[in-house]
Amino acid sequence: MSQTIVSPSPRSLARPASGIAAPGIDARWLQIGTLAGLLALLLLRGDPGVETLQAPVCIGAALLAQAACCRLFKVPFDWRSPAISGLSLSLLLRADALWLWALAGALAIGSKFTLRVRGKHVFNPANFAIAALLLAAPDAVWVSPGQWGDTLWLGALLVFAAIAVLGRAARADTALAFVACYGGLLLIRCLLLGDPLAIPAHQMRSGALLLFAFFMITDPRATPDSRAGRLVFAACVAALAYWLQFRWQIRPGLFLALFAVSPLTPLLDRRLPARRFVWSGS
Amino acid sequence: MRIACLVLALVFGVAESARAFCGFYVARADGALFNKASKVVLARAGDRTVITMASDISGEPRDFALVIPVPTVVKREQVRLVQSATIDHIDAYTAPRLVEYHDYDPCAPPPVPMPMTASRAMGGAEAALRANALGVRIEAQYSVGEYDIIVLSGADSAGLLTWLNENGYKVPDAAKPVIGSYIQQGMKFFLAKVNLERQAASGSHFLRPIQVDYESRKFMLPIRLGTVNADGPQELLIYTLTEHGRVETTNYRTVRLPTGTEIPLYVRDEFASFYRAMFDRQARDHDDSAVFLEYAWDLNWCDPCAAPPLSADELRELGAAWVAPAGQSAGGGQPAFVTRLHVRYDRAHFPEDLVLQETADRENYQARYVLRYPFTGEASCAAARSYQAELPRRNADQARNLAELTGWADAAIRARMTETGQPLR
Repeated sequence: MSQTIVSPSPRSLARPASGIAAPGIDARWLQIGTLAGLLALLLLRGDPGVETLQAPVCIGAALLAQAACCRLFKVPFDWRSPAISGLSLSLLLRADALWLWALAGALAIGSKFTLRVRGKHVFNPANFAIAALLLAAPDAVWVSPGQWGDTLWLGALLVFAAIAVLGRAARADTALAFVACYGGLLLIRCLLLGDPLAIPAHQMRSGALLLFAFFMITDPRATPDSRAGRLVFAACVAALAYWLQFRWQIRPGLFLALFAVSPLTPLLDRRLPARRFVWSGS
Repeated sequence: MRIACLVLALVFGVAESARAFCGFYVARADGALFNKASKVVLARAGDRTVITMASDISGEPRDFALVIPVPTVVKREQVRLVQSATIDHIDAYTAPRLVEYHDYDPCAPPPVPMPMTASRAMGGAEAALRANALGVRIEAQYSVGEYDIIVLSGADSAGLLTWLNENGYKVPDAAKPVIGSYIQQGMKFFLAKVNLERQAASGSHFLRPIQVDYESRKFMLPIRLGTVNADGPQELLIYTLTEHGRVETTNYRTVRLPTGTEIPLYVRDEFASFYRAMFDRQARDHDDSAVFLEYAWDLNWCDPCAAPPLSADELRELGAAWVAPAGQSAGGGQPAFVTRLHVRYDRAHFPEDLVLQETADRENYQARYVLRYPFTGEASCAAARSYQAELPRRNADQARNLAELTGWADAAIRARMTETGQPLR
């Protein structure tokens, strides 16, 4: 999910004016509100694998890790960024041991402070934690792509909320490009197989896909600075996600695709330079 | 001969009461609970899937034909027959259930509870030429027990459909696009028909479940053929055996049914209609597009079991090859996790095949409904008076629970409760 960092290095602190500030209020407030609402819904529904303590442990660990890293890197503490990472993880990750939730929160924040190229983090923190844990402990963690179902109202709600968030964060282009590319691939598959359109329609209504598209891949701090770069980035994620899911039958293909494509961001920034995004509240 | 897509009546529970860890299990349902309920057992470890399909025992054997898409060519040694009793056992073991409790004498000191594990307890050449002409390739052909089996691949859905119909598999034209889609996906078709002569020679009146094992990354269950010619929604029960944890669908929502609710005592005699009504309501509430979890249990965790647990040999028979044979394992538990999923599907709400995944979730769950019998003995202490005063409120709660679960009219529930000795005031 969209994630930010609070001035991680003295260098970036000294030059905030070099970025493009999003207009209006800080979009992270909307993001926190939306994610918290979705988490409340998830807890109320009592889905299999969801327990009350998981989210507080994960969010708590992310906040603690942020506090520790801020002290270590001597930057001011802001709770919004780790809260967003913790909420995102609580919504998307599943793990059967509480310590894994704590580890996920810490890994997300740790990656944000340590895996950086030219003052910009390479991975979306929550995505890094999900992918790292899936790769390191496939028998202990999982994601449940079906858990949000395909009920239209929920999809509509997500899209509505996401547009509200992204309109302010000015990164709707990444989400739309991803949705268009991924949807296009599903449509081509459907046409080649001679399947009814109901199949790609059902696949695109997946709540988990929409959550990923509008909250995670759109991280303004971990996507290319230029619009052209972001479009290339989104298309690569869509193509790899499709290949992992349909060719290799890897269920968390979306998250692993974003993880694998993220290191392209510094390269795209070098080839297609543009001014960097900073949150208006930072 | 129509495609008998594993039609089997769901026999609900076991026809006995077993002493339970906490309360008694009462399996009351007689006969079929859901019409047209198919049963499939999937054992999955790594990329190996063993699928066991219960065949239709309610019709004439000559009417039985099975057509299922499979990801690979299935050879003779990959097909076995399984005892129907083993399927019946996993069904009974995982079935939603009623449990009953009896209140203690309110005047006697409460018994020391046992360590609480209640929530975890329970427990030919011409044919080949014709096939060639139609673009159909017979990949394998053999007999197993009472079945004649053919594995087909095709280049063209129309040719394959023609072949199927010429060979006694009455597949409707509407299935053509679905068959075409499976062909494009590289799937093969596993066909089984009953060889009446061999069946007669065996002296058996029952068709044994067919089991196929194959290696494939695909962990899914094809349901689309089943929706082509169905009149109304189909019921499907999927029992999975895995090494690590619960199985869920990744392209449909997996939902836990309400469980542990106290309901009026009269439901004991109409558990089947109660469960049907509750399931109907749950399916509707989830837009008829959810998969329902009815049971999820770590078989290492049986202390004691509600129904007699599945033995190592039964688990192995159902494809859980990683379980050590009987006599070679230590302790009573088995290193396997069983999940029971109940799907009510039709084309409108389930356009895609079910895509499955094993999770790391080992939390035990069962769909379980509670009957609580009041103490009816002589009691005259102060505690007995407050106990008696409390009963109508408890009964009212049970009435409300039943109305909420089933959508049955509150007034009718209350009237039945009063008739059956559960006063509400």
